Amino acid sequence: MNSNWIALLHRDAIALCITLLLSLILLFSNKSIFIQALEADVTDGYLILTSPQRWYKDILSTKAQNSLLAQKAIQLQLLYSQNEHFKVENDHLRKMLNFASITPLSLLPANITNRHSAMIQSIIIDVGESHAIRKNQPVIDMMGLMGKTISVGEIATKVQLITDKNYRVSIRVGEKKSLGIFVPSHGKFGILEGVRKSMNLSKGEIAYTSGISDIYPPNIPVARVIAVNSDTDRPFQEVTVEILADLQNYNYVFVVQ
Amino acid sequence: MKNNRLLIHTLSLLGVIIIQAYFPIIHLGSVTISPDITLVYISIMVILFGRFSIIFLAFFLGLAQDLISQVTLLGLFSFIKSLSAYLIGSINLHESVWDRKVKYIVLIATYFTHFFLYFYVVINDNASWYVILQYSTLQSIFTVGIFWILNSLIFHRKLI
Repeated sequence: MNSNWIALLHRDAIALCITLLLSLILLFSNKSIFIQALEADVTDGYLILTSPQRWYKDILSTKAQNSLLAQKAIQLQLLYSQNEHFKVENDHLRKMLNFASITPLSLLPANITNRHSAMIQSIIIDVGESHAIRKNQPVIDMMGLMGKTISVGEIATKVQLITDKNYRVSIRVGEKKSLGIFVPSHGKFGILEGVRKSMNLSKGEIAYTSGISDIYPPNIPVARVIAVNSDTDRPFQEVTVEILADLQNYNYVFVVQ
Repeated sequence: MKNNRLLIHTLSLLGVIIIQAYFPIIHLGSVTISPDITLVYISIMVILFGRFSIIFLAFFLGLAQDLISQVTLLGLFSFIKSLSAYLIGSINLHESVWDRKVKYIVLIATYFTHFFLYFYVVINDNASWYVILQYSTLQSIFTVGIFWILNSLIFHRKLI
C-alpha cells in the first residue's frame, strides 16, 4: 500500500516535470513558426467562440450610437430654432434701421439687457455715459414712447417705463391738438387727464407728446384712444387709452438724443 | 457509458472556456480582477479524479489560455496551471488525513502561488511588489470564493 502511494507520487511528479519542461520550452521558444501558427489558429477559434459577445456588444454599441444621434438631432433642432429666431431678429433690426432713417429724431439704438422690477417698473439698456446718454432722455420703440432714462451709468442706463405709476407725460390729442396729461393705469392702459369736454375725441385717435416738456420732443406717439366718456360732472372728459409701445416683446429700444 | 463521460467532460471543458471568456471583469478602484475559472475547474477535477491526468489537462488548458491571452509569455499559464494541479492534487491524496481547514489553506496557498508567479512574470518590475501582492491576494480571494460557492452549492461540500 505504501509503495503504491509512492509510485503514485512519482508518477504525478513525472507528469509535472514533463508539463513544466514543455511549458518552459514554450516560454523560451515562442518565436518559432509552429507556435505562431498554433497561436493564429487558437486566436481564430477564440474569435468564433466569442462571436455572440461581439454581437451583443454591437447591439449595445448600436443603442449608444442611436442615443448619440438622437442627441445630435435635438442639437440640430435647437440650432434650427436659433436660426429661425435670428432670422426674425434680423428682420426686426432691419425694420428698426429703416425706422431710424425715416424719423426726424436723432436716435441711439440700445439693447435691453435686463428687465428690472423693483418699486418702479424699469428696464436696463446697454448704453450709458460713454454713449453720451444723460438723465431724463426719452426712450422709444418703433411704435411709440416707452419711457425715459432715470439713472445713467458708464455703460448701462436704467429706463423708467411708461407703465410706471409715477410716470407722467404731457400730450396733445385730437384735431385741435388739445393738451392733456397721460397717466398710466394698469397694464398697457392709461388715461388722459385734463382733456376738455369741448374737445371732440373719437376712438383710434393717437395722443402725441406735446413738446411743452423739456424732456420729450413733440410728436412722439404715446397712446391710442380706446374709450371716451363725456357724461361726468367734472369739466374734463374721461379718456381711456392704450399705450402704443410694445411692452411685451421688446429687445431693442432707441434713446432720443 | 465511457462515451457519455467523455461527452460530459468535453462539454464541461467547453463550458469552462466559454464562462472564462464571458466572465465579467471586476473593477475595485484601480485594480482590475478577472477570476480564473479555469483554475477553479482544474481544482475541482484534480480533487475529484486525482492529479496524474489532470496535470496534463491543466497543461493543455493553460496552453489554450496562453494562446488566447499571451503574446510573448506563451507557456506561462501552462506552467503555473500544471504546478497548481500538482499542488492541489495533494488534497486528493490526503483526503482522509487533512481536515477541511488544512485543505482550504493548501488551496488558498496554491492559488496565491499561481497568481503570484503569474503577476511576478507579467508585471516584471522590482518596484511593484506591493502591486503584485495586491493583485495576487485579490485574485486569490475571488477565485477561492468561486470555488467555495461551487463546492457549497453544486458539490454540497464533498470536494473539501
